[in-house]
Amino acid sequence: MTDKSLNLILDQASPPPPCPSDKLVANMFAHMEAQMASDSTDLARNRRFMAWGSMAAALLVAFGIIANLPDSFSFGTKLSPIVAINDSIENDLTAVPSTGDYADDFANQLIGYDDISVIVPINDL
Amino acid sequence: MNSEPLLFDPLLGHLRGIANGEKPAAEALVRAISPKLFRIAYRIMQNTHDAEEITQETLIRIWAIAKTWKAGQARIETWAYRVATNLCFDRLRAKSRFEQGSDELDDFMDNAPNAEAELVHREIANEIDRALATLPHRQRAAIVLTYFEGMSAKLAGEALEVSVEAIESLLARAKKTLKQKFLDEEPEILTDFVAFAAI
Repeated sequence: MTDKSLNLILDQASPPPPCPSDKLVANMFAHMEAQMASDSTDLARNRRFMAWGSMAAALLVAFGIIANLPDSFSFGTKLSPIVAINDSIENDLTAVPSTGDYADDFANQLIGYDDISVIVPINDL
Repeated sequence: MNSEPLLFDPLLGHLRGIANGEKPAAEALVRAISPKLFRIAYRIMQNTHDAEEITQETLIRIWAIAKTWKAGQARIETWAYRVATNLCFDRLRAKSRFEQGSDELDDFMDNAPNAEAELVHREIANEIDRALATLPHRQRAAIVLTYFEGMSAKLAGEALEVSVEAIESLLARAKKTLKQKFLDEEPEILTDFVAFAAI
């Protein structure tokens, strides 16, 4: 069978029914209207969210600024003004040596350990 | 910088109108594109109800994509054919079998003016429809797009997302299957066809 014969046979296939264009147009309009209504609802909701969100953010920023102003610092932390800083090097001749026993101080910190010698060799004390 | 699309698309104006919610544009696009979509869907599905639903679904998808459509990348029409054929394939896969619409024959005899000749014609048409229905989905779509809708292999390839070579291969296999079927399994169709052609 040639392609031409096949084409002649295929020409006899059932013709499709007429396209229901009017119905398709009507359904398309209905879908568009529903979608646009839904979109406008979403838009209104988004705008409300943006408005309230912006307001809340502005309030938060305002509170932060007010709370951190030096004159009205309200987070409860005491600030001590720095009066003077002694950053001179201490003279060895005039420096008063400490009379404390540092080895004992250190050992006292370790009370409670089972075997202090494991941590600090006895000879070092 | 020239931002005009490289590919001229006669439906682009309608699509832009649809993106803005313009009903006249929507109607113009539906009337321009739906008959062909419906025929393709009907030929593949061989079922009016499915064809109508698939056409509607394709149109809704056009509406959904209208706002983000990038002009110049593809023709709207080709994209719509691709969507419609893919929807057909999805349905065919989902169905274990699909119905042949030949129940109207009983009423037909009473109404047709030349009932006998028309009946022979109808029987031939039904045989051809049944033969087409036995083809694998993609082969059937290739025959529908190129033969029944007269698309070029390039356009049909774009619609089915395959190369021109693949379309030609699908067509060759489909034609071979159909010829074999008409010659071996349903030779009576040839007899009927010759007799009908002589009427």
